Amino acid sequence: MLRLFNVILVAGVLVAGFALYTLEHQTRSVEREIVRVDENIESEYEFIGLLNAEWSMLTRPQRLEQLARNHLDQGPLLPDQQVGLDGLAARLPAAPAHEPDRTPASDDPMADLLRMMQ
Amino acid sequence: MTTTNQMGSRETDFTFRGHKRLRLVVAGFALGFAVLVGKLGWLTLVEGRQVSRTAQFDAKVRIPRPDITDRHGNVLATDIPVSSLYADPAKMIDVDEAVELLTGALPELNAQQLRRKLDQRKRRFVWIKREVSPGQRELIHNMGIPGVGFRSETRRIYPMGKLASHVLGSVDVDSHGIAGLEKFLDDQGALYTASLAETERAASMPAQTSIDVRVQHAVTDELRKSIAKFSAKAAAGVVLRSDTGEVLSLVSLPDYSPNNPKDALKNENVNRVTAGVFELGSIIKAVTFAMAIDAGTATLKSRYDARYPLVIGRARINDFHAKRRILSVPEIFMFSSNIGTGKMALDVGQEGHQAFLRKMGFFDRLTTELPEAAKPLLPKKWGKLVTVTASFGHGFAVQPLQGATVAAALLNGGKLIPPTLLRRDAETAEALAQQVIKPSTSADMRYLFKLNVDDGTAGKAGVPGYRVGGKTGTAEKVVNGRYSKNHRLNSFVGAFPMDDPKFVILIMLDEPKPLPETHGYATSGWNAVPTAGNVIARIAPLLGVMPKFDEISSGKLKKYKTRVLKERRKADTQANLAGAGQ
Repeated sequence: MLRLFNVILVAGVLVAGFALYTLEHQTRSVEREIVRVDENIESEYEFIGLLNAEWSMLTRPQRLEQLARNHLDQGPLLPDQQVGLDGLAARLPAAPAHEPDRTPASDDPMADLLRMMQ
Repeated sequence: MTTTNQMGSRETDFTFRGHKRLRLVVAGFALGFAVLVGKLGWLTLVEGRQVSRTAQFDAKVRIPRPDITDRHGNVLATDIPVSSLYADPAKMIDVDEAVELLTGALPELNAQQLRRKLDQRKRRFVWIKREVSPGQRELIHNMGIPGVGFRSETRRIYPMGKLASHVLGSVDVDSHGIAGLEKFLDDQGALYTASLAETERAASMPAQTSIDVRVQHAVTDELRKSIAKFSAKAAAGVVLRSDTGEVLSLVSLPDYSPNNPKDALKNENVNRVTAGVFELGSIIKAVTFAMAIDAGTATLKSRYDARYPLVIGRARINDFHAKRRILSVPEIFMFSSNIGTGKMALDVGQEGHQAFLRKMGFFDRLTTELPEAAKPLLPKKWGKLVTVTASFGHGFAVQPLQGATVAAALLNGGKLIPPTLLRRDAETAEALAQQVIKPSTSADMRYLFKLNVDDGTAGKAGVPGYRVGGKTGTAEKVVNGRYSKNHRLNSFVGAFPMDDPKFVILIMLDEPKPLPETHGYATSGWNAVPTAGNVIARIAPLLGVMPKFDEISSGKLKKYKTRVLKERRKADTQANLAGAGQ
């Protein structure tokens, strides 16, 4: 009986030792992975910071103004170029005349349009 | 046989019967292991998570310098990682070779100086070059010179360049703030800085200023144009939110690039808005008016005799635009009459005048987040004459920001709110606000300011539709101890839209020169005021002020548009010519 017990114990020790070793090995590799990911995250943050700085440099108002002046036909807003929602109705172009009686030239409005353009 | 027997009997004897000592030992071991197993189970199953988490923490003792952004989150200052090259001379094997290789990789290094540095055998650490580019770093790394290494550092950069340099200040090579908000973050604002920091970088907050980069640029650009046009020595501008005290724009020209920190401490680059004190001249008259109306000694209908100069002792106070008649209070404001304003102050009396100025904060140093804050210069003795001269701004000098703050209080319903360069919400502002004049007095002040732009000396600040109001100031500068007629400090303080003044603007030009198109005049109405007008035309749409037109402003609109479009065409032609010349 005692021998069997010892055999079981030895086997148990071996299994436990192996399991412990595997576990520790796994833990180490997980730790390495964590460190690597942390470093990646950190370098991504640095990169984001760099990109933000670059974005800020590229969108500085002075540069945008220069670009707008060189490439757009528009100038700063004049006071009468701003209209509120309530003033919008007064600025709408006249509505196209509604002619319900007029029969369409054909069933294909696109074809009409193309013909008109020619 | 007996031995095998004995052994057999021992093997089969599983119950340890009769082996008392052995049993005791087994029991002892079993107990010991049970305790260990129990403890192990407790640690792994119950407390396991906490243990593993503490193990992951890095010791980050230094609080990282927060980014600085404008009120909409545009980055104004940030840290970027850089490598710095150092050497440990004690570990160096061949100094000559090292010097040769290093100067080869970094041509800007001085070979002799480097040799001297590396020959100090007793030292264990010398910097060779701060902030090496990634390419150079790679190159030097591959050379494998013994005793040479890199340290990663951060470098402060200001992506928007000169924009808002006086607000931001700058840092030295070791990332310590030496001026502006950067200094505030290290010194008085250390608690605020710590509140932004988080152990995880992603969670750290930027320091959000009250500045709006678009407004800041518009003010800078217009001031720069005015300096060129009127050959002025310097200029300054402030845009303030009158309801929260937030500074939307703070410009002082000439300015510097914070990326080049040495320039920050040059004398001509001083922040004129807070670090200098100036006699604001007639702008202060608005304060006298508010005082007299608030005290009840004058109303908008009162009249004052401005026919003769005001004589006090041996001094005679005269008017610049002398009308030589009896003036009503709005007329005194519009013609900027010294005589009238002086009399209004005398009606209130010396004590009342001083008490009012003290209440408005003119006697104290205005403190904001900026460490550069100058003390006001006040008259030493306060007599009758000083009361009169102080009523129109002579003899006492304050920070221009102080002038803008008080103007905001006069117009926003009477609440004096200390200005700030950091983002502030309405509740905080409400808690800090002090009621200094009655709301009805403030309404009268709005009327006077608006009237002065519609019909008075500040006409050129008016942009039709945006309902601008303002007061001009032309102060003679003290040159060699006397007021000089030819050295002026011109200013304008105004607000818009006047039916609910949200934004206060102050413009200051130092020694603008007369031009043919200003008919030889160099008073404020001809230079500081139109500059303010140009600024308002640019920033009002940015700030969401909707134009409103009545009969008068619609009439002015056509003339205004013709002038602006003509100026734009002229500027375009000049730009095209300059482009063709290159």
